[in-house]
Amino acid sequence: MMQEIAQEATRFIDLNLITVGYLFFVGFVGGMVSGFIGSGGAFVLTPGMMSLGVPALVAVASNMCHKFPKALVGAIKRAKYGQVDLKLGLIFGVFAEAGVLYGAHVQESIKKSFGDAGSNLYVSVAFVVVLAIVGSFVLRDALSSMKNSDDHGEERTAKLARWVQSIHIPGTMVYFKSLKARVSILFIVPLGFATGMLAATIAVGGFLGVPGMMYVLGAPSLMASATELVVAFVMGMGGSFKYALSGLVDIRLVMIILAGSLFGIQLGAIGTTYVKGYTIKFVMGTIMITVLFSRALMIPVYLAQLGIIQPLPELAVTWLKNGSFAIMIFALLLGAFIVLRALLKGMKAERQLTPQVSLKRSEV
Amino acid sequence: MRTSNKKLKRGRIVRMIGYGALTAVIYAAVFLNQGTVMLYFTKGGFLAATLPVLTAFCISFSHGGFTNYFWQVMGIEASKKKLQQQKQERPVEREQIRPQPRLRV
Repeated sequence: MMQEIAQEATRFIDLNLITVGYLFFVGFVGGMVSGFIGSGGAFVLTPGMMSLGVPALVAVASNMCHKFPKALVGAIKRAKYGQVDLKLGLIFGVFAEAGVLYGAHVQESIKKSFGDAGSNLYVSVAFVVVLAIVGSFVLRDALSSMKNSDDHGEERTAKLARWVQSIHIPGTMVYFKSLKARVSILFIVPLGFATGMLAATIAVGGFLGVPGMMYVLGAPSLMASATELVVAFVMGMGGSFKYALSGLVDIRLVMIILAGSLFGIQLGAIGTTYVKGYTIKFVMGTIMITVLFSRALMIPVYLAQLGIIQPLPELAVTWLKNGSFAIMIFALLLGAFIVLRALLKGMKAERQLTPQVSLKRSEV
Repeated sequence: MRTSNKKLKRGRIVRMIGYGALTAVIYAAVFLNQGTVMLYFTKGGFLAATLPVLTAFCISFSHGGFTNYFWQVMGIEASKKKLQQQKQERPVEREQIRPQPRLRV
């Protein structure tokens, strides 16, 4: 059955220049955002591929398979800048993988019981609830950090994180360099699991993983976003293999998206060396809140399909679908714009500073 | 100083071309044989599942290397100021001081 879907998909897609260019561009912009905030660039790709006529399962599988090589390249790059906590990423990743498997199982049972509309409604409600709570918190914290941070941009450890770090449970304590403290693994289990479940539901686990590492464990935002790339690599590799077992990965789509996203992820990773921690939070919060509106627009469509509210006119459904997709693209472009602006501004400032330094040295 | 900079830039260009050529070969191999590739890659089962995963790894190595050197050649690099700061922040490893035998008279 799965192989039939995959074969149908490969026959279905016509890889013309426009399709290739579209996937390359979305991959590039998504890669840039992922390199900067650790995740968040992939949520447009699944609906983007589906709009080209790729079946949903093949789109999800191909998106997953493009994520792990991208995360690997980003993690290596950011490890060179000393921003990755490999130990935390691997431990977090293992529990996130369990969450992915459970999340996929939940999705399947909802689909069986309530059909496609029920499954879509579940995804949209998860999007709206999680992004509303976490996104507004991250954005509020980013704005207050901008006002209160000192010249070095040092971030204060959250109250909850200080409490978590103060709890000592014998036999479960592990030292993490990003936290500069020992934390019980029992706090990482639910965080990782929830991240994985969210990844299986909305394709972006990092919207929970990065804030979890920042506010619950106490990692600085630069390190949390870089470590999330390790988590995405672990989750993505396991997930890709699971989908590939059913023959659902379209390697051509994966390669086209990767062609663009690996250019983007390098830029995003370089961008992190020019900014202070709160910029990461700001980009993440802004994207989360914008995407929230995109998914909220689709809720009435699914409610009507399930017969909970009165059926909507066809024109309204088309407008809501197009509006939702347009807001999603806008969120990604907005994130990429902030990243590029920060990168170019930082490079310009450093170039202006360099001749002055060398002049002073020559005077001495 | 200028010669070493030129050497560094030439080295980067050579590596960029090397990784770029490898990437082009992989892409050409897949897209020129789409039919065969899709037939084996979407077969399902353990062995066939390793094919897309391995290909993705190969691309992350070759295209990742190419894009890394591409941006370096274009002059887009990480902030040196911040990286130096981070290096200084790391604790300096102390050399272990061996107790030296002293003659006590």
